[in-house]
Amino acid sequence: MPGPLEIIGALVLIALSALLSWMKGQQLEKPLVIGALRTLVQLLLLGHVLTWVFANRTLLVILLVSAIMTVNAGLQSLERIKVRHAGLLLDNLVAIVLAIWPLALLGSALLHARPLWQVDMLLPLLGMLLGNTLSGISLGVDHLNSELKERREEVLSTLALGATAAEATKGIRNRSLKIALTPMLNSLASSGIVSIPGMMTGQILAGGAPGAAAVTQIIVMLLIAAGTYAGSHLAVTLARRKKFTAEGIPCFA
Amino acid sequence: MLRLKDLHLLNGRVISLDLSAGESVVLQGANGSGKSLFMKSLAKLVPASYQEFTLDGVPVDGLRPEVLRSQLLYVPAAIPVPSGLSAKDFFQVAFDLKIYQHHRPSFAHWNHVERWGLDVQDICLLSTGERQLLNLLRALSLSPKVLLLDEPTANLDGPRTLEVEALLQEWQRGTKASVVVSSHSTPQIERLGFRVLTLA
Repeated sequence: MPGPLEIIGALVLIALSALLSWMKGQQLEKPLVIGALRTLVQLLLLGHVLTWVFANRTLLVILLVSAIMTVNAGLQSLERIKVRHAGLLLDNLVAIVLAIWPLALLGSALLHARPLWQVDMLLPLLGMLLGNTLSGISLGVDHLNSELKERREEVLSTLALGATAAEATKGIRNRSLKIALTPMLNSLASSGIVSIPGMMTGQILAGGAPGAAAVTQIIVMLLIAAGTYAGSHLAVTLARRKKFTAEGIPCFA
Repeated sequence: MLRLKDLHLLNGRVISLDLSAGESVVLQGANGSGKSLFMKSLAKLVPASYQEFTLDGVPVDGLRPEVLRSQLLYVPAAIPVPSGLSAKDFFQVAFDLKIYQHHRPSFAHWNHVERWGLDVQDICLLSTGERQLLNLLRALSLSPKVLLLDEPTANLDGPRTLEVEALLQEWQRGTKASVVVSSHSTPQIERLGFRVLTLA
């Protein structure tokens, strides 16, 4: 089992990179060192937290950890959205919970977890689903915002003809969803040819059989695809609704 | 038919207006006085508060926004035109909206499209004035109760302006619809003979 010594060995590489960057005046030494330390601290903490959670596998603990992870994902989804309207965090959280939690449970079932909320299955699944879905949500909502602003006059003139809000924004919504799903679609296409997916790599490095790792990875990828679609769809729909008042008056400046 | 009491525009102006069926007004006022804003407020494209706003005696608050907008049809002075659309597609896009599924609009004003040479394969080929004209003809085919025209002849030459005015008056006689039109031209205001509403 690799331990602290091996981590230090890997850290030397970062030190060397930082040194080179400093000598060449590229100003990357600070972000490199800070990033490396963040990863170190965050993952060590995660290891400890998960060890504790696995030792105390009550439903309450699992729910609590799931809730913290979900709220974190919601907060992070805001970071890449430049224009944030009121209620965006709540909308994104609703989209994440509705899209992801059922899928995480379904994933546990497909991977034969007993019980379904078996913690060493559910939490990693939830983590992977959350990470991918939140990036889809932020890409989609951010594009919706910017294209609505860019095509404001076009949307207004369509509304003036008697189009419903849904009709007037259909094209923009479709394009936002397409953009939300693009990274996921790319990874579906390239996995196994260009890259070995991270989870499968981990399983193989930890001594698992590649065949079994592939099956697990396929299931996880398909769950992620469905989760990203459902989450982005919900978030973009909710965001679009916020762009009109209750009376149906457009309010995107 | 249209009754409006103390409509507060976003720019602070307050307007009241009573229109009976078939009656029309022309809006007069300096640039920035709120003529476009007033028409957009009527179509609920921008927020505005009011004491009373009814259409045929029914408070418009009870109408779905797309119903209100199909009856108080706002025709902007300039519209963004997506490329690759033929003149016929341009009409069809509007006809295909859900709101027009029951009383299917017709190409009744298509003869004008042809006569004025607007029947092109790509409306990007049309000039600003021609596009505005095409947009006006499409709006007429949608049979609104009130047509809100934002400087409909601003980009047209003299003879075409007169033709459009004649068409508007003829359309109105046939449909008993009302027109609210903004204009900067005193001769035009006199020719139309509509009641004048000044935004001062």
